[in-house]
Amino acid sequence: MSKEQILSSDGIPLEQSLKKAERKNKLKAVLLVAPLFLFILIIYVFPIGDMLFRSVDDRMITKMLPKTFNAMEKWDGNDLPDEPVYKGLYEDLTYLKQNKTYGKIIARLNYEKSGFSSLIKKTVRKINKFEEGNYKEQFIKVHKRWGQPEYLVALKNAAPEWSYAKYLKGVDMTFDQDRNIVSVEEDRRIYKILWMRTLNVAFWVTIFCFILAYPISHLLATLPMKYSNLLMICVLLPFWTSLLVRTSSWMVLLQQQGPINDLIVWIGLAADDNRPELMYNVIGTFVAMTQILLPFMVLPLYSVMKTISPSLMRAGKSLGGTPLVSFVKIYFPLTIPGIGAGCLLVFILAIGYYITPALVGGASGSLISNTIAYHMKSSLDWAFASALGTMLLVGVLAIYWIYNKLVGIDNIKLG
Amino acid sequence: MELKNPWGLATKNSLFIAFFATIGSTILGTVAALGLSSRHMPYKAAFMALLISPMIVPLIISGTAIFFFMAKVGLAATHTGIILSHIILGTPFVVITVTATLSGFDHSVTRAAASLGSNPVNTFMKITLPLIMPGVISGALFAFVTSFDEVVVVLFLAGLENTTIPIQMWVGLREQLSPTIMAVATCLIVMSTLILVTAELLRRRSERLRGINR
Repeated sequence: MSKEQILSSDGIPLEQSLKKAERKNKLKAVLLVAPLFLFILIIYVFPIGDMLFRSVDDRMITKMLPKTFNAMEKWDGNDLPDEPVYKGLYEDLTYLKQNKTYGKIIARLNYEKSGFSSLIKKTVRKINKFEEGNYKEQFIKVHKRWGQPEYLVALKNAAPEWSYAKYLKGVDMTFDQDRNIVSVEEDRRIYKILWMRTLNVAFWVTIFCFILAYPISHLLATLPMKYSNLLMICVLLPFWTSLLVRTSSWMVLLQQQGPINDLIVWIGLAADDNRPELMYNVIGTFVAMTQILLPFMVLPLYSVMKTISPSLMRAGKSLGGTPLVSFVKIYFPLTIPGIGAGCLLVFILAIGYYITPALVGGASGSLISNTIAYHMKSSLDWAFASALGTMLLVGVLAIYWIYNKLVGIDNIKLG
Repeated sequence: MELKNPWGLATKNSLFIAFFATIGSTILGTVAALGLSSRHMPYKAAFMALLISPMIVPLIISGTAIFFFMAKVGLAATHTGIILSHIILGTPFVVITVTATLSGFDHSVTRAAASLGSNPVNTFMKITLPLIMPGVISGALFAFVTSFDEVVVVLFLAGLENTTIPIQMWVGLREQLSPTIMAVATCLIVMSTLILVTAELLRRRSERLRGINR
């Protein structure tokens, strides 16, 4: 029993023809997305990958001391290494001296163990006088540290091409002599504080945005069209205004002789000669960021609240619920998708904020982004900046993933 | 080194960069949105997540990564480098606004055009584009504002010759609140008000147009 096939007008089975058309449509859609996809892949995704790579890349020193590290492979790290290691070191250092590039390894080795700076400098100065053979003895004669195993262990520790030391530094950890991971001394722990402050500010900015935005969004969704449009413009105007303009407005308002301080003095909360510092500390960061990120909370809340039918609240009332009970049992649960969307968006944006903390935050109000910028532009420790950036990126992408699961990317609202 | 008229140069640069960045983002973003809105598009959510990511990833990370890249290919401290990075930052807005417009789009009108013998390009120019125009323009406005207002990436990339209005403001604000900066800020507020009004009018027009289609 053979089934009769349905044929299209040109004699090809319909099923086949349909599949062909589907394939064609699929290809068309992919081709339309391809230009932007490739553009972002090349100028955005690869560079971010490159950044990741830089954060673990430790090949500079490996390339500069190749013979030493080669010879060290046979050394187990106990006691002192044998002659070949010292011979390799002699050859490498002679080469570096000829090229005048030994400055780079000093910084790197000093990071591994302090004391290398004078050690290398002194050795390089005297290396021309070395005689062939018995290098171990000559090295130890130049500087007694070459006879101390801990320095050679530190040197061996610098050998691997890849290192996650920068990540450890980002959470106030380091390697001790025996390659155990330990916390750095109490008074040098700065990054944990910074991460905690960043999370703290982002968290409280999110909470305050939520508290401020909820009533506004409710008004926006329930007021008659005429008023709600005006209110909407009030919400959107800051959204469209330059970030720097908004931050500088806050600087005008919050400065020592600014209107807010004037008001505080006028009310009598503070004496005129003892005006509180509202700027260049965490208060400034906090206030300015809350206002700047507010629209990102209002818009998702509004779009959810708009869809809630007012008859639901009336029904609650008619069944004997007080306004509070109706709100808690009916209205609030219905707005939870909007709350989730708004809070996640504000948190994501707040955690990576740079401009505002840099301008109004001062030292005590600066966040992780400011530290990344500092290491990029001032200390020039690009590997460490990349490591901090990668850690921040992982956090942000995790929240972005949750956002995508809960809300869906295509539900981001822009006015 | 002091520039004679930094604000004049900054204004010129800002407008130049924002203009080309807007054109680039709008074209790339609109074309991609057309593909993303097609129901035949495979892995739609994954592509969307990737294309929107420049909006989500902290600017300091984008700035760092783009700086490494541009320095490697020799585009640091050039207008081209800044424009290319601003295209990246602007496209998510275009993709979002245009896909939103396309979500209410009645595809039977394009099929009608095709059945009347119109080729795809012609259909796009005469039917689709005019209908999604409000979304495209409001996306373009977003892209313009994003580029015009962007500090972080430019801070990493710009040389003295590439200074922009936000960079001048940034440099000035770090020293003191001078009247010059306040004057510039006022001008920028006026400009953003105008842009907002335009965007609002377009949004309503778009809703009206799409309302008729349904």
